[in-house]
Amino acid sequence: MADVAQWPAVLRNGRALLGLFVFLLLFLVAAAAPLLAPHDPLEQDLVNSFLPPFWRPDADPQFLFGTDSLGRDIFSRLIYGARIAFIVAVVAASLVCVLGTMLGLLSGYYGGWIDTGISRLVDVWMSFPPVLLSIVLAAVIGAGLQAVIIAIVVVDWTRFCRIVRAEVLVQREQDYVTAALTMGLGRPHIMLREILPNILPTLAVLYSLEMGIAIIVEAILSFVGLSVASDAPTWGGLIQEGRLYINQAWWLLALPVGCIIVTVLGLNALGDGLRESLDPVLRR
Amino acid sequence: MNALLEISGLHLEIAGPSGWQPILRGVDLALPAGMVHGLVGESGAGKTMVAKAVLGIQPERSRISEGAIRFEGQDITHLGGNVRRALFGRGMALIPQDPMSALNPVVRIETQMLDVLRLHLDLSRDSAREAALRLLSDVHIRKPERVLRLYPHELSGGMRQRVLIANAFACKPKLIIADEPTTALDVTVQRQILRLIKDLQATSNTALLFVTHDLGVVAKICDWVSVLHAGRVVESASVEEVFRAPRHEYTRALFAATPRYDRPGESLHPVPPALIARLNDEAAAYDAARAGRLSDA
Repeated sequence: MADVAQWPAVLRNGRALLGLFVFLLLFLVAAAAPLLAPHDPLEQDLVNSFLPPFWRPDADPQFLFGTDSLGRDIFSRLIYGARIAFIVAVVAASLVCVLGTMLGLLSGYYGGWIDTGISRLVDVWMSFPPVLLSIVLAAVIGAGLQAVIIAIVVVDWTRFCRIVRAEVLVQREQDYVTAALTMGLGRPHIMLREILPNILPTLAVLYSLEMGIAIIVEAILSFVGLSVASDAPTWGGLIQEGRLYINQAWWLLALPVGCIIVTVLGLNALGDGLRESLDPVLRR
Repeated sequence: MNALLEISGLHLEIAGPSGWQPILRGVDLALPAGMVHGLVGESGAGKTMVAKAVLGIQPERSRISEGAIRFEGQDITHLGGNVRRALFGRGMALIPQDPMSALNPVVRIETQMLDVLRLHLDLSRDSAREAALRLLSDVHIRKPERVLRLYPHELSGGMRQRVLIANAFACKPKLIIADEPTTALDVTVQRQILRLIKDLQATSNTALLFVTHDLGVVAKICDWVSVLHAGRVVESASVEEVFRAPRHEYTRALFAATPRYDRPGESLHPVPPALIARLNDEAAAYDAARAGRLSDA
């Protein structure tokens, strides 16, 4: 990352490029949702409920993917769903990254009882089923976007913490750390300005994977009705609604599922691609 | 004598599978200000461990069980944390063994140099940058502005070692510890680096503890030399004395094992195995005697 010479490698990697494209597309759709969406995603039109999508002969060209049971435009709801997915992905992944990296750095660099404490906490944490834990958390904190994000952060920081700790254990034995010590540089400096830049490639990979995970967890939470307000358009909420009409209008379920699959696959590809192009061992 | 660095009876042990393994067995060493002291010995003799103990960067699973290290009269044997950190920079500095790995690979040279300068000398960004440029030209780097902008992997080994030397001398320390600073470099560069260290040492009047296994290097730059074997100083004398008439048998064996360009054709003699065996027996006897002494106490 910090190494300029590595940028072309990222851009030459097909998977990273594909993932980057999906991520940018998600960003653009999320940012331009009001411009892209032909209808208000919350506007109900009971006369026009259950309109079929464009590939059916009796489709209304005004409603590209048809309408749901309350006559709301599916296409617009998917677009606004991307907005929530994007916010959750970026905010949750950032917070997870900051929290997990901080604890991982402390644990790996200081060792001793700090390491023991944090590592045991991670062990205990990881023994809870993650989905169950986030559902319980979201239920306790209450519904809403913040609750979803908090639930994801509280559940997922362990992944970052473990990997960062392992990386720090490797880096702290390197000569440049000893050299920094003999220059009188303090521990915070060595952690943040010597070691951290060296684990940025790992963090970039983890971050992109974490965004995919956050989107899935958000979908799960909206599916069980614990995400944002129930009429708000989230992909998980759309799946939950579509499930009821699976026999009459399968696309109500299939379209949001497709959105999630494409996004998460894209973000995973981004993670894998970054790993391939940033890891000096794999690059060879 | 009031030396800048004084090591007396230093015992250092490393935790092994069968208990504490002695590495240093009572090392004594005195280094007055402005002098160059060579520390020679074969691999595993403990010379690097002496350097590390002085800097307080010995391995985690080791302990200094006896003896003391004094720096400017202050006992620094078990010093840690902020007090230890305050010694670095203006007190002592290290020229590391391997320039390839001693610079942070993902940080520009400029940042690595300025961080140190600003920490110890309390300089503004601009004056620190000027100081860094001056230091780089002091170590004969021709385009210091350009080098500051580069990452370590864009420099050759010799250039990196120059940067590290500049960094070591940056805050005008009283003592510099050079841990085999030329072993990772090729022979033509070795000469330049040695000369450079010697010149900088002489002009700044810094004391230098020079760890090496190369007697030729010792002859070139040291005033005093200590020969180390199995964690014991077997001989310590001025360079002229050691080179004219080495007293200890092991020192003589080391000389016989050193290639001489002025006497080509003369065969090289390995250190006799019998001598090594005897010295190792002496070390073992020393350990046994010390164990007895400690259990009596």
